[in-house]
Amino acid sequence: MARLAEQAVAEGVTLSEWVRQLLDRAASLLSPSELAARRVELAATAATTDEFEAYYAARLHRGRDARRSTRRAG
Amino acid sequence: MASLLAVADLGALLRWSGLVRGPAPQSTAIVCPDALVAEVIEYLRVRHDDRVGPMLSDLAGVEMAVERFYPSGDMSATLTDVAARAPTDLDVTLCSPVALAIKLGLPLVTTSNELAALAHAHVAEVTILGR
Repeated sequence: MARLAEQAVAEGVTLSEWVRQLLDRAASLLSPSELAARRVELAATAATTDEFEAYYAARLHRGRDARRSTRRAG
Repeated sequence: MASLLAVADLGALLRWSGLVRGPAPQSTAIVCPDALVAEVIEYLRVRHDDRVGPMLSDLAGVEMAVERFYPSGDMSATLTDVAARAPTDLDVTLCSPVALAIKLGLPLVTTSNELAALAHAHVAEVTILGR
């Protein structure tokens, strides 16, 4: 309880408010079985790994062009 | 053995949420830096041609699947260190899961070999999800 109270103080709320927020958050999360069901439900429309990997590779390396056009400071 | 809690990069997060096919993280729950929310939205823009309805629907699904989005401002020094060590063209926002894994001492789950390499010496457990 002392640890929970410390966390509540750190976030600037009362202990009861902190616990209420915690419960709200827990209630809004999908359970593991709900998450598994959602993955099955979305499987037909989900992006393929190839599609995503192409996007991700380009996004990961987007700093390349920005570096070319940015003058070094100092 | 699967970890109870792990940090996910963008690829692992989208698989975890069911938006991208392929093996999902085996963890019980995942956390992400909040900076990844904008990256998810950017991906959804491309995926749905800027149609806001499908974007919001998928975004809600992602938010309901993540245990916590950790404030990126709380790990700025760690992220700066990671960015300075990263290959020069690697995007800093997408490196933020590496910084979060270091900061929280949690395993990292990723679909990127580059992020795995960046994390390797500093994160005790790094899992690269296969295809």
